[in-house]
Amino acid sequence: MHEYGIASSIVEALLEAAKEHGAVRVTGVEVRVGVLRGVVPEHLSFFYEHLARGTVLEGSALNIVEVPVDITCPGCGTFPWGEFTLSCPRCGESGIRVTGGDVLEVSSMEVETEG
Amino acid sequence: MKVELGKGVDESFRREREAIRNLLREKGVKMVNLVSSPGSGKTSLIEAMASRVPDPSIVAVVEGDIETDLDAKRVREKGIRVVQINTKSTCHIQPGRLFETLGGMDLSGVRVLLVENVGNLVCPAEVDLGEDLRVVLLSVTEGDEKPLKYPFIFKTSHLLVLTKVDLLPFVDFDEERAVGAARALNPKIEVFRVSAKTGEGVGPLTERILSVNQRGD
Ligand SMILES: Nc1nc2c(ncn2[C@@H]2O[C@H](COP(=O)(O)OP(=O)(O)OP(=O)(O)O)[C@@H](O)[C@H]2O)c(=O)[nH]1
Ligand SMILES: [Mg+2]
Repeated sequence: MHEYGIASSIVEALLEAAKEHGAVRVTGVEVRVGVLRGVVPEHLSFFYEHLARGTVLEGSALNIVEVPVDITCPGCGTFPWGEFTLSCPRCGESGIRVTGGDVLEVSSMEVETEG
Repeated sequence: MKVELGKGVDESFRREREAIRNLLREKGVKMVNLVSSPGSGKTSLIEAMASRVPDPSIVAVVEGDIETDLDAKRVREKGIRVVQINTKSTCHIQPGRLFETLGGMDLSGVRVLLVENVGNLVCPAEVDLGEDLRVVLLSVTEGDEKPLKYPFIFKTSHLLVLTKVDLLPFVDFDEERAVGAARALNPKIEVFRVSAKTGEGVGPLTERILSVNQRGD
């Protein structure tokens, strides 16, 4: 259940940023999660909601954007794919490279400020 | 109002990590983070390497386990300085905890610090302890599909060590499949094959680990 730790780090980062920007309420949050990180979005949302309670984040909508990997195949070129595979999902070739898909970041938040 | 952040979640332990790196740099110690599933042979490998280091006082070990000091006892028997961390409910060693532990350790004369992380392929992968070398162990008994199922740890490791190779005749472990998947993600990963039981491959791996360079930032 590594999503709990990730949710705590996200909440911590958001609270810090909310303070910095003088936010009285955060209404929406976007996080980007690479598919290689093995994050289950439902679990992350569950823990986020729990940790947000009683803070300026309470009730904010968490938008989890899943970021695919890029598969580079000698025959098919480079294209995004929703999961890590050992061979090219288009032609079956095995000599592929898999890049990206490892990001884990809080990309933006929607805030309300006083006045 | 929309606020752009672009904040990496991995940055959350930056302060602790820098404290660890400063402390180790000052003492001239390099850190190696050993990660694997439970029971892949991390402690056995440390025991096997202990008899191959030229001088046991140049190595120190931090053992991470949820409970018990059984692993620390095994390492101490080999004449290596060791401290046990019990992480209780946490599935990996936290940087803050490691920093506290290092502060209380006598590291004089130590060149390489081996950190045996809690057995787990997910959580330790997410936490950069500030190590100079990350080593993932994969035992041949646990299946060649592990890099496919837990890609992030294989992507972020410098060395892949296939362990328990003495058991290869008894299991269907396709080395090419395991190594191929790791290399598809991480073309620079260096692969070693060892058996702590027979000693196969332990010498070259020990040499590689002892010659670890300080990581560039
Ligand atoms: N046949 C064989 N067995 C091994 C080898 N290395 C370790 N084992 C056995 O595998 C089991 C687990 O080894 P450990 O070294 O305790 O594994 P670990 O990764 O430290 O385990 P945790 O700390 O609990 O995650 C023990 O029963 C070892 O004897 C090996 O090279 N060959
Ligand atoms: Mg152990």
